[in-house]
Parts: sequence; C-alpha cells; structure tokens
Amino acid sequence: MNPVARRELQERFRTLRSPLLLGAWVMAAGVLTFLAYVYARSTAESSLSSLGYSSLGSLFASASMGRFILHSVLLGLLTAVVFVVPGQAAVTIVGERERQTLPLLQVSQLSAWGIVAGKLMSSLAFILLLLIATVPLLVIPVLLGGVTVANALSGMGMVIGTAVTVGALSMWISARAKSVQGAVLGSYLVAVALVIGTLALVLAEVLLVGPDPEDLGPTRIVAGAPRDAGRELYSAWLNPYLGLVDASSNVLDFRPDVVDSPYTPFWQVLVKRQGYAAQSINDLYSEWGAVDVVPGRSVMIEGEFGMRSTGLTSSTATSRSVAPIRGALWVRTLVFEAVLTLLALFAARRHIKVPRRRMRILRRKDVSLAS
Amino acid sequence: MIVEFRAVDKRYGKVRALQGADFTVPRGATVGLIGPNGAGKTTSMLIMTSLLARDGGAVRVEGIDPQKDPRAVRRHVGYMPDFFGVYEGLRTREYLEFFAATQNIRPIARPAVVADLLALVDLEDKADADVNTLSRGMKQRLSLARALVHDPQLLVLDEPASGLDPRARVQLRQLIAELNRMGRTVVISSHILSELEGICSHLAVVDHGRVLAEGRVDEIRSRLFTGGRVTVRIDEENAVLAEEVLRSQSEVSGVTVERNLLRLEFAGDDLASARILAAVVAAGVPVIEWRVEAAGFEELFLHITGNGDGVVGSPEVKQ
Repeated sequence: MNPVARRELQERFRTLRSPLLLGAWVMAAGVLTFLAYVYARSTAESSLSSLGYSSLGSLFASASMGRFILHSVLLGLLTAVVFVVPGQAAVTIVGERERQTLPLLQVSQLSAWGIVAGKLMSSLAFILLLLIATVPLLVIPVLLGGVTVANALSGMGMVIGTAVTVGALSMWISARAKSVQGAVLGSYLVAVALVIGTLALVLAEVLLVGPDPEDLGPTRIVAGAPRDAGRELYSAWLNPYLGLVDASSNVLDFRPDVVDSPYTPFWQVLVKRQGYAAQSINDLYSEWGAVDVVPGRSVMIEGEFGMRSTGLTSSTATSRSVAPIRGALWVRTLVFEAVLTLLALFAARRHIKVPRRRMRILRRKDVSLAS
Repeated sequence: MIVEFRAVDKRYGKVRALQGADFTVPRGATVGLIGPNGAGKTTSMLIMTSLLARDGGAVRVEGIDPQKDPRAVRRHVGYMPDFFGVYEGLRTREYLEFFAATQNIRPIARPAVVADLLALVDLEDKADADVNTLSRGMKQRLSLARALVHDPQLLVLDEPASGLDPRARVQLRQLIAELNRMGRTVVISSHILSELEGICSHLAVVDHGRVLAEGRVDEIRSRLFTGGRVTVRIDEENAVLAEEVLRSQSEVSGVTVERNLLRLEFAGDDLASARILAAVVAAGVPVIEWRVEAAGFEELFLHITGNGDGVVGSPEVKQ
C-alpha cells in the first residue's frame, strides 16, 4: 500500500472522530431516507385517493415511491460529496507544507505521482467509506420497485466519480495553496463552481440558445419521428447532477408519477436535450392519458389509467416511437470528470515535483528563524 | 569526490543566492559549510539533495546530476533539514517505519532497520512515545535517524545543532563523529562556527553566494596564517634563558614573558614551530608544555571574509 495513504489512514482512524462521524452520517442518512419514505407514502396516498384509487399497495404507487426515495438519496449523496470531499482533500498537501513534512517526502524515493496518489487515496477513502455505509439504504427503493439495481448502482457510480473529481481538484488547490484556510476556501469554491456554476451555465444555455420549446412538444412524439432539436446542450455535459440523473433514470421514460421525483427539474433539461418539449410528465399525461415509453422502442398510449396495474394494457395500447436522438449524457459527464481529474492531478504533481525553481520552505524557514 | 559544485548559480528573483559557487566534498570527509545567514548554505544543500534546481553551473553527487536523475541522487543522500516535520499521533517507531516505507525498504526489513537506528541515536526507550512529546534534542536525533533510514553514503545536515541545549549539542556532535567513523561523508552547516570545530575535517566558507575558501581545515589555516602563535610553559627559573634562546631564532618575530608562560609569534609552518622547540630543548630548558594556538573557525571566517577578493565580510556572524 502507498505509504502516504497508509500513514494518513492510520492518523485518521486512530482518533475517535472518524467512528463518531461515521455513526452520525449513517444516522443522518437513515433518518433522511425514512423521512423521504414517509413523505412519499403520504403523497402517494393522497394523490391516489384524489384520482379515485385507494389501494396504496398497488405496484404503481410503490414504484413511484421507490423512484422518489432513490432519487432523493442519490441527490443527497452527491450534495454531501460536494460538502465533505473538499474539506478532506484540501488539507492534504498544504498540511504537509505547514507541518514541514513535504520536503521529507520529496527527498525520499516516493515519486511526485506516489505522493499525489497517496494523498488522493487517503482523502477519498473516508468518503468512500461513508458512501459504502449508505448502500443498504438503496435497497429500500429497489425493493419498493420502480427502479432497478442497475439504476441504483450507476447512480452510486456517478456519485463516486464526482467524489474523485472534486477530490482531485481540491488536491490541486491544496498543492498550490499557501495556507490551509486558503486551500479549504478555494476547494469549496471550485466544488461549488463544478456543481452550481455549471448548472447556472446549463440554465443560461437553455434559456438563451437552447431548443425553442414552442417547436417541440408531445405532438412530436405522437408523430413518431424525433425531430432534430437543433444543437446539443453542451453545458449539460459538465454538470454532475444532470449526469447523475441521466445515469440513474430513463430520461425518456414518460411515466406519470403519483409522487413527483426530485429529478423532475433535471428531467426537463434532459428531455429538452433529446428534442422534446421541457414539459413535466403530468402535462404529457393530461394530454394523452397514460404513457409508457421504452426509449428507442415505442410509446404505449393507453386508453385508461388504471389498466397499467391490471396488465390489460396491451390490448388497447397504441405504440409510437420515441427514440433518444443524442447519446447518453452521463457518459459525456464521466469523460469530462475524468479529463478534469487528470488535469488536476497533473497540476498537483507539477507543484510538488522536485527539483523546483523555488522552495517555499525557504521563506518559511526565514520566518521561523526571525521569530 | 562525492559532491562537486562547479560555478553554480542560483537566483531568487533579484537576489543572487549562489554566484559561481565552487566546492567539492571528498569521500569520507566531514565538511563544514560556514557562513552567515543568507550566505547560500541552505541553498547549496537543497541543490545537493535534488530539491532545488540551479540556474547555472554543474553539480554532481556520486557522479550523478541531481537535476537529471533526482531519484538516483536521493538514494545516496540523507537529508536533515533545519526543521523537524511532525505527524500528529505517530509514535517514534512508526515515524521511522513510515520514512523507511517512503525509501522503498521492504516491510520485512523495516523493524530491524528501525531498531538499529533507534539504538544508534539512543532513543530505544522512546520507541513507543508520541513523537510530539520528545524533547528538542531527541527530535533532532530522531531526525538524524530518519535521514539514515536508507543507509545513505552522504549525510547533509542543515544547522543540526540550532536550538539545542549544551548537553544535546555534545550528544549530537558525538553522533556525527561516530557516523563519520562509520564511513559516512557528512556535509554540515552552521552559522555558529564554534559548533563545528573539532568535527570538521574540511571547510567551505560561504558568503554572499560565493565560496571564498575550501579545503582541509589545517591547509586553510596554514594558507591564511603564515605563521602561528605558541604558548610555552616552563619552569619559572628558566624564563630568562628561554626568552634569550627564542629571540635568537630567526623565525621568531616576537616574545612576551609572563612569569612561567612565554607567548611567541613566529613565521612559517608547523615544522618551523618544531625547529624552534628543538632549539629551546637543546639549550637545556625543560619545556613543560608547547601549545600551538590554531586559529578558530570564527577567526578563519573573519579573516577570509574580511580580506577575501574585495568581498566585504558580513559582521553579523551570530554567536
């Protein structure tokens, strides 16, 4: 094992802080998931009864609840990553500088890559532990239905991918920072720019240059051929939330939900990217009745809502084709994150590779002798 | 030569830290880099240990250019900076084991390496103490052990004795002398010149980024001072006779008498001193003590920097 990572983990897990944090995390995640469940259940009950259906146990309601819970948990995890990882990774290299241990590593047989890799491993190890500890919570939505194990796993994959990227960016900031405080602040700014900044970019692009909603709409689906939606929403590639939503759900799965998923605003962007109007699924439903879309295959328009759960849909359904006209967004997001990660690691390595033109330790030493 | 510096330049912005620095470190020597703060000692050491890039000139450590193959150089160099890097919550043994791991020492060999080093620096009874709780002198010895973890041929020690109490200083000096006896080449810097006396076989006098003098300590001395001073202790009854004999010697330039002590100044090398002694003994004066006073490092330094090539010596040699 990388000696740097090993030592950091030793240091981190020797104190009581880590188990306490882990306990608090599992507790908080459990409570939030439970609250999501309670909310989803009561919302499902009330909307079903307003539609005239009282059977809470129907697969339909339970699938909606499953989606709501999975989507809430995944969005929560991604947000937690943005809050936890910079705090962990930002202190690593600048911390060695402040403790004056960096030159001791630099004169060892460790390469600059070895130091960077060890630091990345140790700062991600803790968040990975936290994420693994929340895996059991994902079992709840999978058991409720409406989502697949693959949805949950790929969502988790996107969260981990984003954690690695945020960790690498924070390390780059850490390698060039002059103080721990500066590194932490800078890392949070970069992390916020990655998730919120890019989201603002997406909104700007949608509003300014995106496909015109007037041109698009359910009619295009009914007409059968996906229309050309103009140019790609490139800014959407950059946003980890959109990548997560794309990876863990079917964007063109126009399914009326009794509990609105927290993914809904993201879906509107992603649906728009696929050339369809950014309308909520309930709009589609009110226009068509129940709609079930298998992306790339067909749209089934049902005559009656309740038939879905009775299994009698096939006799009355008519099929329309809905095909994604653009490739999966999450792949592009992952590629973007991978490139960003590599660039950040290269930059971090450049800052600690020796021989250097200038050793920052020199200035520190002068200060310490003067004091 | 284990280290060679040839016309090495290093600038920090407008400040010229090294200006054509030239010196060599012979294998097996203990070389003192002496000079005031800011003279270029630490810069030279950072270049030697592959941490800092030079702007000009040539550097070889074990025949390797530290800029071309820094990792190969690091295999031969143990570096002890003038600060002690601490990791919180590590015990002394774990601290050394960690640095052994960073030097690619196999896990199976580490416990033995660490045990040997702890014995060498006399910290065996502190093996399980938290590093943070060690005294400054102990930390300094641990730091030295850390520099030795990969058994390097060359030890580069930057101001190792700074901030130590007298007892810790003596221990450190003994340790460095012991390491030199074990065959290590040592480069050691200090701005407290008296610290290095007695342990250095060679000197490189650095000021304003230039090496003003280098070589064996006795050679530098005899080059600078074409003569010397001798304190002679004799039987008080023979003082007059002794003074007469001494004054008659051509090399002797001055004699003062103070009861049974005679101080004389003479021109020439150690052999001249021996000839004068022989003459005194031949005249029948029983010589109880014949002490040649060598110039101390401070005196050497002031002499070199004061007269050296028009370079004005820095008066801020701290004591």
